[in-house]
Amino acid sequence: MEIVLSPITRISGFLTIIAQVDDNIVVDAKCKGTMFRGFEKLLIGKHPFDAVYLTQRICGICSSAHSIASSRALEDCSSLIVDYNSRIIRNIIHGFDILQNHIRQFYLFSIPDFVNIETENFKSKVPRDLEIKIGDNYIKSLYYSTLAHQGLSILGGKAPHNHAIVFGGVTTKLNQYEYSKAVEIADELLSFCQYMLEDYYIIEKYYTEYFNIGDSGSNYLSFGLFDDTPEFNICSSGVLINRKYSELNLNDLKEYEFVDDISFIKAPRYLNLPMEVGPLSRNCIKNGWVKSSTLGRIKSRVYEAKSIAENIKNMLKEVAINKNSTSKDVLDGTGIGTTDTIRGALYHSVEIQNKKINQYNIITPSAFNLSPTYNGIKGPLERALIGTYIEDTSNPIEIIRTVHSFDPCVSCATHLVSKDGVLLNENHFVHR
Amino acid sequence: MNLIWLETNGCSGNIISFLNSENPSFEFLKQRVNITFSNSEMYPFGTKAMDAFFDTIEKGGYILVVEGAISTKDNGNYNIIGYYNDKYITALEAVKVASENAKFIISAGTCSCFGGISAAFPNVSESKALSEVIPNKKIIKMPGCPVSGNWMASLLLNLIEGNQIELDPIGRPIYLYGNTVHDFCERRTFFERNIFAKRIGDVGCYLKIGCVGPSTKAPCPYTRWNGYIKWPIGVNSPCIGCSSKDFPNYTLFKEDEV
Repeated sequence: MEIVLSPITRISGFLTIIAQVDDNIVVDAKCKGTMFRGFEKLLIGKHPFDAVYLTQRICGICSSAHSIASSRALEDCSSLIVDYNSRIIRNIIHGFDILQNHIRQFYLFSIPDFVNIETENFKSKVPRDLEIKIGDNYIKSLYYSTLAHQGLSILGGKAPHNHAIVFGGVTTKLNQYEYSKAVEIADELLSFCQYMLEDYYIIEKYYTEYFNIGDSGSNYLSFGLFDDTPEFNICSSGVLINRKYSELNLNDLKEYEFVDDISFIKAPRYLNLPMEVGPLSRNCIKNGWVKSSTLGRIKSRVYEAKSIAENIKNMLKEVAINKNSTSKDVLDGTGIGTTDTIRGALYHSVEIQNKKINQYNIITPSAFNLSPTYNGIKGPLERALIGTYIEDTSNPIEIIRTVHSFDPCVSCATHLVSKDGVLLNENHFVHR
Repeated sequence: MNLIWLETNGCSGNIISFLNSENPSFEFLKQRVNITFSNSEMYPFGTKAMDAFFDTIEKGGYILVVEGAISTKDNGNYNIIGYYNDKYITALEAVKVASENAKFIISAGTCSCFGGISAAFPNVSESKALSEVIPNKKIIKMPGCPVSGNWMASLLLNLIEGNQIELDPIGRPIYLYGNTVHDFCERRTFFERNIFAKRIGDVGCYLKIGCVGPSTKAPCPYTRWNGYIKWPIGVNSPCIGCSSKDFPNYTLFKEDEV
């Protein structure tokens, strides 16, 4: 039987999953992103500086990442290296955004797949008293994710869609008054991460089978997170294919379009392979390969939140007070800006001609994870769903658990395809 | 009162901003408003989510919040919000149906109010403002990119308490959008004294390097953002007019003219 799950809720954007289920086992799965704006096209002809603010509007839950990738692409174009203090401030802004997301994603999006919070949605394996404990932290998480955006706002001016990250550095000059509040927020967030870990271990204890569910193919890729400030590095760029580590080579990254498929999501492939990206990828590249799984992804996200909170605390000690740096000298040429972010590897590339944007291309983390089948090879999420046992086909919560473990963001995922650096038009996605 | 928060073609940043609300808090509002449908926040998924959507509409008397612009290309097929009775439901169809029985209709964010970035040239998805696809309906417009969660939360609280909301001629609440950013800007004295910033990051008035505060109506200078003291001009960057009708169809940063 065919199960159409639309909308997949508790994610950002619009995702449809179509699963073929035989004898309660998922035998085939398709991912379909069902929104499209053609974001790259609206950047053509714009002033290069505008790209840093405009590309943030791709995504309401991970906007600061786009500002970093975009400014890096412009800086690459002008062969400009931003100063250390600006890199630290950018990473603090990005770090607060990651914490906002990881807290929100874990409690608001993933937790309700495993425990019943407000209503009895499925037969939970977690004892009721522990469900109540997690439910309390679920409510508290609203405050802490809000607080993380407040931390971002102290340095970034506003969240979502910050103003401080610009071509050549950052505009903000952190003063000692603002610094004092940022320190408190970082500390509070770090304390809350401890509760997240405890709650994660409750889920792990009662749903341990999810370490054997949701294997994406276990090939991993990262563009590096905070690797421009080595002492606060979360993960360096790299690739794990068939368990073997190799250095990242951007020339091996290609993207493909679909003339007879049904999704607005394009298919990035590295050496023709679909790659999983995100916290689990970063964890494996840094600490060694493990098989990809639904719980593995959630565990990596929760652990990463704690590392990031610790790093923010330490990075704040390094920020120069009342200092900023920006630049006006953008040069014509081509540039690439990459960073790992909340959901994985993010790529921006730009071509500037006569001080105007001539081409712009974006590959997002969710495009990697949610990419559709190409050349007979399934995308990572599709592959992760195949083989899942579904107890009640009228309430396939097992599928949702794995989908949420990838933290999909479809506002980000749907983009135009470029071939040899030239954008193809949207007709390369054909809608059913 | 029931509430449907419908995300359409956009970045879903307005619901994130709303979750950030502290004036009053999201938690506080949730005890007074029953959010029956929200792609980002609701537990049910698939058919059960769509059941909740149509049940709320059938009961009537709810608040409809729409964030994002409405894609009209290919009969709305560039933006599908769900699957119901063996067919895909486009955002275009969903807003038309949901606006019929709503007690209040709110456009949250600039895309829903005016088209915004989702409808920016060349607008490949042929996205439009909500008011263009459901003409003749009264819509409260809450522009901003995104709209601050605090502004949204205060509006919702006032609506459920039965307070009158006075609107300007294009539908914005006057208590929030009655003044320009320039009116209450913390850098107004720099403007009066002709101290103009020459580049972003400087201290001074940003008027000569792209700031559109004088033509932008929004309460940012006194509500600030994210419950703290900061807002874009407070971090040495210009107001980019993200709550304006023509955002972002102009150059945000201007070269130094001083």
